Amino acid sequence: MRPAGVGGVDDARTGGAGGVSGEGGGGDRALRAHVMVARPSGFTLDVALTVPPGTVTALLGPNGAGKTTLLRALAGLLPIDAGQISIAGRVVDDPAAGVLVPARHRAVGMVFQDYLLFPHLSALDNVAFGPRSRGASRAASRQEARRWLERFGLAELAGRRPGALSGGQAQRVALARALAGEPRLLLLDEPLAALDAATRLAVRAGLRRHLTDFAGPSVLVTHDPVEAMVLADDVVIIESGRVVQQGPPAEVARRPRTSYVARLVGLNLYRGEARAGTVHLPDGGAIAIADTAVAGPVLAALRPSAVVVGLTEPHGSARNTLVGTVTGMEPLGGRVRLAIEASAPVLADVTAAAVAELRLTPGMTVWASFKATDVDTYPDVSAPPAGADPATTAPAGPTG
Amino acid sequence: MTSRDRLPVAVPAGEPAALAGEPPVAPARRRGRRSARAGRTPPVVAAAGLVAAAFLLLPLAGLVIRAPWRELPTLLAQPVARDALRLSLVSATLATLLCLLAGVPLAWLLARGSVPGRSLLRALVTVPLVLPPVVGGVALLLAFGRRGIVGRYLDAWFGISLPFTTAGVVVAEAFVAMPFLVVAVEGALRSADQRYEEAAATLGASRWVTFRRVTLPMIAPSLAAGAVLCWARALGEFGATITFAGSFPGTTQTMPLAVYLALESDPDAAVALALVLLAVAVAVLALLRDRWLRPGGATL
Repeated sequence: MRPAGVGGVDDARTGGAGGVSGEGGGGDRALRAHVMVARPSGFTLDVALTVPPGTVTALLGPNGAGKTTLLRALAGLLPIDAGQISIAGRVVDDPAAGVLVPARHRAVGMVFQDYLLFPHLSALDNVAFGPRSRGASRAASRQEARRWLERFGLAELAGRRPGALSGGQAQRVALARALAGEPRLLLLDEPLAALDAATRLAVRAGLRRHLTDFAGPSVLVTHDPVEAMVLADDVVIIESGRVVQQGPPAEVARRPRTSYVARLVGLNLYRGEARAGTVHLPDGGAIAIADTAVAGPVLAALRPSAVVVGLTEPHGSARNTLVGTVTGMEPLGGRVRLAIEASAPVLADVTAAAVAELRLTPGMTVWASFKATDVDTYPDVSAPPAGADPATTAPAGPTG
Repeated sequence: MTSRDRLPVAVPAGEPAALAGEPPVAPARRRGRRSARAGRTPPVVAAAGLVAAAFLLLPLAGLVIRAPWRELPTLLAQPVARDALRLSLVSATLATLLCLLAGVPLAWLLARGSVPGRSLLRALVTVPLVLPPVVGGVALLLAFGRRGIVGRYLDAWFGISLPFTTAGVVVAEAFVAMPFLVVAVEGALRSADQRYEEAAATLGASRWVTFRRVTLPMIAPSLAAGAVLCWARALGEFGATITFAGSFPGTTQTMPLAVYLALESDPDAAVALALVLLAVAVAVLALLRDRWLRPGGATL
């Protein structure tokens, strides 16, 4: 997590942003939003979000979760039905108070999913479009655009039309265009989705650098967990229009709260009731855990690499042994991830050599074992949205 | 093609040349097959098609062959011809400008506006496309004539009278030609990706700046095509013009009217003027070649 109000910021961009005083740790320049949108289809979005200046918040979630809707509401392309959005201390959308600032007056920079560079304008004029629209003279806006292109290492491409740019170059031009307007909020909608895997890595590194340089709050929409982990200081997971988990990337990766997040970060997740060193699962299974003190509704996370797979019943120290059927095999890096259907479904990572030696194939009966100390349990504090997770038990009580 | 299932080897769909009972053949051979198939056009169809083509092209050929090529400069330099030529160019251009000024907003309204009964309005504004031009002329007289429902006030309040004036010619031409522009521009506006306009909005552009710097350049090809069609239609206008504006040499006698009237008095001059109109038509077709003659290209 970077400190708010990062040093080494180009003052050309901070100039003019109101409320630069130190009060509240620069909180005046934060994005504060409570976005409620109801769609005719019955879909509702209800998300509260605070993004401090100089930090990046990633919105992560499955398709149709409402991430892009939220981003469009922040940009001013979609009025909210209830709630409030304030950018840098200025309320830009508040239906109750009758306030709605249109997109062009919000000082928001947005990078669109497929960049939407104007096809008939050169890279230079694309970047100059913002300053020009905000009243700078043609010469001044071009000069400003040239500075941004230089900063992004794109100076020699200034005269090119978007059609003549590579995906990575177009992405950088789009980012330069969004930043050239000196925005107080930067929004990025799947900024790397249009790139092939090879360029994505390089562009991602560059994007991270530029996001670090940006002094205002940034909101990034993605469905790629790695992208969120690499680029963001905070991750907000949205499912079906609601926040299901929120926190620093490392925390989210370690302690997922829904099966969707667990799948994203590649962990086994069990939701159940802890009693005397055992987590009782709603459908009858039980998992032994090391901590005998924990009680009540808990989540239990287990790394697939901690699971040992064998063809016979193991007689070791592992206190959890499950017998089940291999239902799926998926190569993953140098390993193979097995999906095992047992009293508690388990994902297990084994080496390719082990697969060959045990002659594992889907449909085989295997034993999966893991140590109680490898199971990380934590209280199930959040009540996930109804129907989002079939393994839901009663929501947890108050926690410390 | 008879039966795909008898093929010994699976053939991707959409490979018409692979014939039944044959293994896939080399590309060169396949092409030969295709042209062989093309040569199997039923003779009746071929004959009827050629007759139709001849029917369309012979009159034009006749015009070109019969044209008094040697006297052409002299004929076109005659005052009547020159006046008609000048008047036609001026009035068609003015009508096109009028169509652009009024037609683009109308197209925007039809494509993007939230007016009630939009689809009905869309249908109605294209009526002049299919309306007999003479009927259009009569309708214009009833609306803008000295005693028309609008014209009487124009006359009484401003002393403006449109019928039988050059302004009347422009109005008649615009009435007939505007749908061409509106339909072309409306289609372009509807298919243009509006997310570019959203991108412009996030960059601080007002709606007017967005329209001028983003929307307009994106619909420019359709706009140009619509304007060219519009101009060509205005240039060739006959029925509505003669009904609404009459045929006074120098003020309302446009080229088509001059051609018609000269046919009795001076046939050579008529042919010369007709030749000019034909040349314009061919030029328009050449300009729009990419749009019209390309398969799958925009219609209109």
